[in-house]
Amino acid sequence: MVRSEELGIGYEHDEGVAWVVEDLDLEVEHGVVTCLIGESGCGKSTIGNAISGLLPPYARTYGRLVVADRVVIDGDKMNFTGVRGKVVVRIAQDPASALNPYLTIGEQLSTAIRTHFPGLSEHDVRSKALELLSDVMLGEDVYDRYPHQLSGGMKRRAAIALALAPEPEVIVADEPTSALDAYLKYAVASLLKKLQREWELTLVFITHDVSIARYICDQVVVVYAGRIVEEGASPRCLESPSHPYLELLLKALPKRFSKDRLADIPGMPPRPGMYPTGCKFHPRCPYVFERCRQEEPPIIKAGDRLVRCWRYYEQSLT
Amino acid sequence: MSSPLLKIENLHAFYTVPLGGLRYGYRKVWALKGVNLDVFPGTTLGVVGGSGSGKTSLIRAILGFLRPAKGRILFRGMDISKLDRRRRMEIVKEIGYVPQEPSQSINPKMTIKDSIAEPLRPLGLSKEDIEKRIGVVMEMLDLDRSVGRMLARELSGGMLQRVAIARAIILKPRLLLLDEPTSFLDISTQAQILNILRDLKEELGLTYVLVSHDIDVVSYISDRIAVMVSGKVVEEGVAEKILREPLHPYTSILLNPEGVAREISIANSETDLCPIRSWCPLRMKKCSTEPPPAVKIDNEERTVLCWHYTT
Ligand SMILES: Nc1ncnc2c1ncn2[C@@H]1O[C@H](COP(=O)(O)OP(=O)(O)OP(=O)(O)O)[C@@H](O)[C@H]1O
Ligand SMILES: Nc1ncnc2c1ncn2[C@@H]1O[C@H](COP(=O)(O)OP(=O)(O)O)[C@@H](O)[C@H]1O
Ligand code: SF4
Ligand SMILES: [Mg+2]
Ligand SMILES: [Mg+2]
Repeated sequence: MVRSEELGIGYEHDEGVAWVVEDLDLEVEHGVVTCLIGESGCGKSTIGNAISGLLPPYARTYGRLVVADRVVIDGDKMNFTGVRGKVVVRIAQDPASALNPYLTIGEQLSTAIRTHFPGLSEHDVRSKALELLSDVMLGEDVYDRYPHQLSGGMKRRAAIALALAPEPEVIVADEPTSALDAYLKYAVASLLKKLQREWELTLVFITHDVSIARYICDQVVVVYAGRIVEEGASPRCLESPSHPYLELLLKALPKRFSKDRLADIPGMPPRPGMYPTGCKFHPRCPYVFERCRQEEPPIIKAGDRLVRCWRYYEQSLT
Repeated sequence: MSSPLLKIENLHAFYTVPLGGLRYGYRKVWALKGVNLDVFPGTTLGVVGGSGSGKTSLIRAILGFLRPAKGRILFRGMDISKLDRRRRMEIVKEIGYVPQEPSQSINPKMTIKDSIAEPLRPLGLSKEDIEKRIGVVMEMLDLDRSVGRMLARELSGGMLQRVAIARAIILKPRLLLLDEPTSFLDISTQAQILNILRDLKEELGLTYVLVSHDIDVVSYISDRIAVMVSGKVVEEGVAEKILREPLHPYTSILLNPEGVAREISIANSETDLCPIRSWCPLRMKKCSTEPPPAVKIDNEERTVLCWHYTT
């Protein structure tokens, strides 16, 4: 389970702190796949790194973050002792970065198992390593191979096996399918989903790929300028969007049998430290009205989901 | 029907890679193993395929960066792989190129304006003519004048890609080769670039060869689609028809990848046998012994490289 309460995350630089994420209230229940969707620079990795305890030393925080019943961020203090790399692990985008090119997959798995389960016999370490390989659907022969002897898809599986070695409760997968061939994307996503079910994990799946999100997630969280702009308990909102940003994003996606012109979303997402006043999407929003420029809308319940938009706020009053 | 602007016949090409250390000698890696394609003027051919299937190599061969070991590349009826250097330079002006990564075409130390103008240099145009051309292409790509003075690192990915396209069209090419023009971009910037490409094609009467691993991107912009696997085109035909009714089993998987839960292997071996024979649902005995033939279907409109369709 992951819960944040008015969480703020920023990065310190010469002139102060650029706040990337502000007042984030995120709730991911135990045993659920939540997708964080949004375009690059909107703060997905920043949120993922905060959950997995991997923010850089010059990151600043406020608010609270609770991961698997432990308060890991409290105001400007972070405490991930016994949590980072154990209770919560991150699978990064680049699998090569997680694997050591000079050690076989078996050696790397064994080292990780010994670290997290000291006292296991060598025989047990080896059988646990082989079990992990079979969990990620890799053959026993992979045990003795070096990373460069594996295909891109196999490397990602091996990196997933390594991440699972400590038997975590929460996994943050940051763009685990980007730059993979279409069928490998689905193979990696369905593997994560299978493991999540079997191990009853909480999976935070970060992606900008809407079709993969539709395929894997239970809960959808759409992020724009470090805020949740739409949240739903099912992939339904990816079929029938409420927030103008999500609506345009889906209209900008090429559809297989349609040659209708793709929606142009004018401009670009704002950079941290330069977020506009009012609704953070208002400079690009086709429905903008006066109130949007002045005040930031609160996130409110609209039908089966939560939306941060004044249009829905006004509708909810009538 | 008019004659093809670009015609590729039985194209083979390889890279040489060292076998371990240099003293072990070299090995050939065949990247293209007999590609046949026709691209007609004013149309877009979309080339799709998995990583390593040879898409970029095909583009590199057309540009003359990768030498054909066998086969011909005919542009306006001339075999451009056999022309002498001078003649070749003249012809190649008519072929624009947008590489897979913008960093490959844009020098980080040059201003954007100089980068865009670079291809014009050997032409010896007057300063005013150069300025005019730059102005025209920058306007076409919706690039603000002020961008011209900037350096590559000051631009976002979408802007850089527009610069790369501006550079590629400044010589007024007939054919534009686009290698994954949107794969590094976000959804909204991808939409901007795809819309621009569609508009440019109308305005300038261009012909495109567009490579992508994203079948939906290809379907948005293509008239015909070619599917590549392991250095060969396994299916080629009218986009709409391929999308509605894929014939080659690999095309079906590209169109519906969510059905494939296990990792499928593509044999990138040196044999000419079908690269998907180990898992193909339509497999027959012959598939493991003889290379698949190119079968013409739909009134010769579609080609499928598969034994299954010979009966
Ligand atoms: N410079 C090179 N030296 C050696 N082999 C190469 C080189 N470039 C490509 N290859 C090999 O040629 C084959 C085709 O590669 P190519 O880059 O054309 O694929 P692609 O379809 O563009 O893949 P991607 O989608 O990953 O860009 C692959 O087997 C690749 O390993
Ligand atoms: N380690 C860091 N140091 C400084 N700024 C960062 C760092 N990581 C991310 N940022 C900035 O925070 C913003 C959000 O980035 P990120 O969380 O990586 O978004 P996403 O994963 O959605 O692309 C960007 O403007 C980025 O430049
Ligand atoms: S609050 Fe206003 S500007 Fe923001 S998304 Fe809603 S309508 Fe658009
Ligand atoms: Mg990221
Ligand atoms: Mg390529």
